[in-house]
Amino acid sequence: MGIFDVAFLVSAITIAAPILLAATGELVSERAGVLNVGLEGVLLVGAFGGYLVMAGTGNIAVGFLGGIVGGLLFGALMGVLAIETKVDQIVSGIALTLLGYGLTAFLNDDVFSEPRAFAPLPRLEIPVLSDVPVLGPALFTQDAFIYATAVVVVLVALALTRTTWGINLKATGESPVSVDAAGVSVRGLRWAGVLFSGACAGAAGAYISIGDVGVFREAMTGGRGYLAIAAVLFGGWRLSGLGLAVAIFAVTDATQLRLQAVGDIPREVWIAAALLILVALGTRRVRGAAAATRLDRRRAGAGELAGLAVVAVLVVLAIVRPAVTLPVSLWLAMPYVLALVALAAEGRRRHKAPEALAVPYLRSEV
Amino acid sequence: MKTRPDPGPARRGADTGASALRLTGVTKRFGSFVANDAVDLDIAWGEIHALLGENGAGKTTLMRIVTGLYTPDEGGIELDGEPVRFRKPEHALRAGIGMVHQHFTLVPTLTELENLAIAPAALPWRNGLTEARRRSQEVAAATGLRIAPDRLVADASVGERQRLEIVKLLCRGARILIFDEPSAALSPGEWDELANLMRRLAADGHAIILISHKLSEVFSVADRYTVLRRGAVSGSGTIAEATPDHLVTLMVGDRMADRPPLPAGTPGPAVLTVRGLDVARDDSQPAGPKVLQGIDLEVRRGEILGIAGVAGSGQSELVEVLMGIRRTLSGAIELAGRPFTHRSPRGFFGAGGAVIPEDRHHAAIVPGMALWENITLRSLRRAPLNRRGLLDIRAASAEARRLMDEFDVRADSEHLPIGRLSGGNQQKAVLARELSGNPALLIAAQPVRGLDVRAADFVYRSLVAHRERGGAVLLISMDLDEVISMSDRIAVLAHGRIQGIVDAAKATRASLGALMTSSGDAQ
Amino acid sequence: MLSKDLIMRLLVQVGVALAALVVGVLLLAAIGVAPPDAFHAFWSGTFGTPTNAGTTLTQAVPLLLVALGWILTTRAGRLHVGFPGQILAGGSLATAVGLQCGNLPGPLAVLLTAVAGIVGGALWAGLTAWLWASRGVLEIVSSLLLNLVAIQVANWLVRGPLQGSLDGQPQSANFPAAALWPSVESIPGRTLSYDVVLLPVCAIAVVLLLSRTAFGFRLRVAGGNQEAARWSGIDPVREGVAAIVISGGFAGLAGAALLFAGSAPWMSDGFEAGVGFNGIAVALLARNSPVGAVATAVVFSALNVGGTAMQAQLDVPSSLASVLQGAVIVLVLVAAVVLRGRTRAPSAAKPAPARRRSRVVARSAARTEEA
Repeated sequence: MGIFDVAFLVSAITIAAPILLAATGELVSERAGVLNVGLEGVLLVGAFGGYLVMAGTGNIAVGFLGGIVGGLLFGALMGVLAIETKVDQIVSGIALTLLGYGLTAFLNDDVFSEPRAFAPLPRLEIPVLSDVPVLGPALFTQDAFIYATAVVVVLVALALTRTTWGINLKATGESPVSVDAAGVSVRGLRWAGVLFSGACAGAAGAYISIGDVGVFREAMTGGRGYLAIAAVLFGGWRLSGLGLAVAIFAVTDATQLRLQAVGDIPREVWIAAALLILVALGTRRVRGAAAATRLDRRRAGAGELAGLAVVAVLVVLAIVRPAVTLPVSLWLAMPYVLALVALAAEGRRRHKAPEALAVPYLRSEV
Repeated sequence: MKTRPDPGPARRGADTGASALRLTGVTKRFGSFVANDAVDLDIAWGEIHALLGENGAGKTTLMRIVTGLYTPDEGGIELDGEPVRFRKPEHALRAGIGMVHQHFTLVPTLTELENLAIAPAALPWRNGLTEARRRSQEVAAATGLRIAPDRLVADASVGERQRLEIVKLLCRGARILIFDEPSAALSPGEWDELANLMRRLAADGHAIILISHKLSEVFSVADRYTVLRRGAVSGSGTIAEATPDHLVTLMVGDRMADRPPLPAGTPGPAVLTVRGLDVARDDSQPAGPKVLQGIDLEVRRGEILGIAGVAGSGQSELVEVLMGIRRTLSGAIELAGRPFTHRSPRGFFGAGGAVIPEDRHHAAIVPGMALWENITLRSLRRAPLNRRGLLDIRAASAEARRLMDEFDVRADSEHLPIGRLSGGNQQKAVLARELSGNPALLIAAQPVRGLDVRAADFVYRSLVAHRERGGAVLLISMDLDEVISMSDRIAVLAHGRIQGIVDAAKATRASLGALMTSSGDAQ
Repeated sequence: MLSKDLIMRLLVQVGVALAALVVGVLLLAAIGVAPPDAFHAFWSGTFGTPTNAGTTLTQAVPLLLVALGWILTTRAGRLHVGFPGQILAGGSLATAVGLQCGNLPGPLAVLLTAVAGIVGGALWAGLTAWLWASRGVLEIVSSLLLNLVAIQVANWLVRGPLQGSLDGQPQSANFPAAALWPSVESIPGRTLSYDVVLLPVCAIAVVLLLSRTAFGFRLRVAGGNQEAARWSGIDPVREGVAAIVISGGFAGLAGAALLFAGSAPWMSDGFEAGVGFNGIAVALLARNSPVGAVATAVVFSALNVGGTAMQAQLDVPSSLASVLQGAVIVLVLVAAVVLRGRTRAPSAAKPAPARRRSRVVARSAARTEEA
């Protein structure tokens, strides 16, 4: 399989996990109606909190707790701004980003004149399952954080569909009036959402610093917070869609990492890209068949044609295999470009954003 | 839910007739405004009690007090003979008082069952759906009210949503049910069904409060009534001993006499002609259901054409189509003698149109901008106030001041943000803006909604004056009396079709009502 | 009435500044630097000498330009944070043009670089605007992602097409002297660029644009109430696109100013230096007033310049400035709430919060009406 080997899968999963956890937290918060654009700042605080506590205690589990506490603190700040003082959530998010970046850089400069490195999380082999070829090493020989992320995501999925709390939460993002009328506290649910999101982002941040590489650097989260927000949007505020989006970002990122090393773009990348576009076209076709006006249909037709043209070009490229190399920087930009393309291609939502997203709740408006 | 399960009103049948809810001397002030003035209200178990009053009479405030959204400044509430004090809506809910709001408190993206499951949860991880299903089945067994548990609320009709709202309250153990203008969005058939249900619930021992200003409904279901006027009780008694005239007098006082009778007009040529208009309910789905079908209309110079109909019959869509905001499927519109083909709001205003939108805050004003800017919202963008993109703001604010005088807009300064003005003054400012250009056609969608009597009268007089000057007015209203007294001709809109156009002088509530209901079976 | 409002606002502003000062002192104390020493280093580094004052003022220009862009977009009801990307795009295009301008007369070269900056920034912002207007992508998200793309593209440019050929440094060749923006010669080090005239000129231009032109009026109506704008014949989407593109132009000009009026006559990958986000803080501290932003831009510039001075003299981490800037936004937000609570009391008029969501999700307002 060339570059798409087991190591590739392992690296994709390692990249995906923190984004997935942060995005899951953000999803919960957004379903409750609070949009935290400052996720990047929360991630950084979690990363630094984890690093700081780890340096103090030497215990990685306690370090993760430190990251979670840092995330909770910033989540609480967002809660105070968005829920209590009801200021503009987007501006609050910008404040959180700046504050998170500045605070962590400042404290890092101050506390750690010499950067320290720690051993990252050990990988745990799950007996029996880890012996399965391909999947075993990729899925069942991972570190504790990745297992925990999987558990959290499953729990959130269950909570959102099966529990009173989840239903109340979803209702809060859609129609806080209804929730209030039912005697459920809108404030309480929004706080729960924001704090959960903070804790998730804190843990994800800690993974980025001490869990994965064992160091902290200024602005080391490198836009993963933004990717997580983009994943929530692209996923249409559904966990399944979110998972798909994160998977796409992670695979792109893992690919570009490998390609930086390989140099020339190998054949399978062209083929994989072509397949991806074909699948996207197919799903669009299935989805779009039902509704769509004549105008939309014509537009969709044009889109399909363009997609097929791109596929044809990719196939030609796969056959010709030109010696193309891209500079490292442009490879690094790939996941973001893909996120943008994905958002643009999705266009008008089939699932709308929660109706009350980023709208403060004032009871007198009943 | 840890609250005690509903003991079942039926089992307390012996109490029927005993006092369920008694308010004594309830007073609520907002600043200097007295919304409720020493209101006494007595509701008995097993009765349907109509709470009557005009918009702004204080019904809503009173019910917000009863449901715990507001706390009264003075006076007391007794429930089942015991004094209670609700500080939060939860308290009232737990005590068994539930309200069916005019705007339903349902979450459209959830299923009906999930909507029932929204509740305070002692153990958040519990699966509330099982419990909700069981309760809804109990309610169905007791009252015959069935829901479609797995249907999205967004897919349910208005009547079905209302039913769900009622089931929701019953599931939570509500014994006193408050219906706020429940018929506003219902078809006549749906209303009959609801009326039957209300009678059944009352017979079961529930207490029911019906808020309405439609006398026909009140006479068809209510046992007793209380009328509010300007925040105070102006009368109460049993329906059996009341007459409609008496209730109207209680509600409006001597207001009817204030309104000038519409002098006979001399309509000229048509200003707006609509032929065979079809409009889709959802702009993006032309193949989907239609909200307007085969609309034929003509509004002439010097004429007020009223559009009568229950809310949701297609009025908003009609306005949006005429404005050029919404697409048409087929049909032709002619405005001021010319085909209005490339429709856009700009084109509409350019052709001499003007509009008083139904939802003032939503569509008519920019609350954060100054009064003068709102008044000159459109004229400021044209010559002479706008010269090559540069605005003459001094002339504009002078113009605004002039219009404020002419239209009696009361404000300390034209530089105040319009959002700080009272609703009546805001509406007068909108009126000033729309009439200042002396438009050929004025669309007035519920122009007096939420206004006090004085402001409403001013609006009426302005519309009539515009008609006297030869302007055409398309008046859209949900209030039959308003339409009858204000129009030259009346088109009855129901289920997206014009059911008939009648001469206002010959129209009666009954004849219009008959036109509205005649269509009920058409769909 | 109005003057009382103004006094309240000024008081709050001063309060915010004092609170930020306290935060700064606390942080300094936490790292063991005596505040008097810090203040001395700060003052001499910012306004103590003509040279340093020149630097402070010159560096305020890009901050103000970004702040003005932010103010314009918020007035139109849009919120994007793509300024870093637009600065990079504008700066890159200005660099590409400026490097070719060696043989042109000075004024023309300067003008060309400025225009190139504006165009570059506007084009980059145009991507955000297009994604929002025709694809319904939240402008805040697309602009964040485009920032990250721009950073990588700039990294690539200074290592590839725009790289100076002399050594392997990731930076462009030195700009030709003709393209450099002129500066006041009497000040030692020539740190005061003539582009400081942009401070009053651009601020006043934006004030006039918003209050005295039909375009500014449409912009404000669209931002004040989208639906009312639509109902009075203004297309809020068009106005939003225009606002985003113009703000990109401002940011792009800021990018050109950073390079051609800056201390180093070449483009390196880090030339944006946080100006994009700090400009937002500048606007917020000025409560979105263009004229007030001139003052806050100078304050923020002083924070940056003084922070560098403190780092050089006292080894205070320069990221102190970032912390203060973040804290300032939080303080301003809270202050706004305090202010609102005071002024709102007499008015019965309710805000219409439900309309606010239209800012978050493009164009869905029309569809929500069906219920």
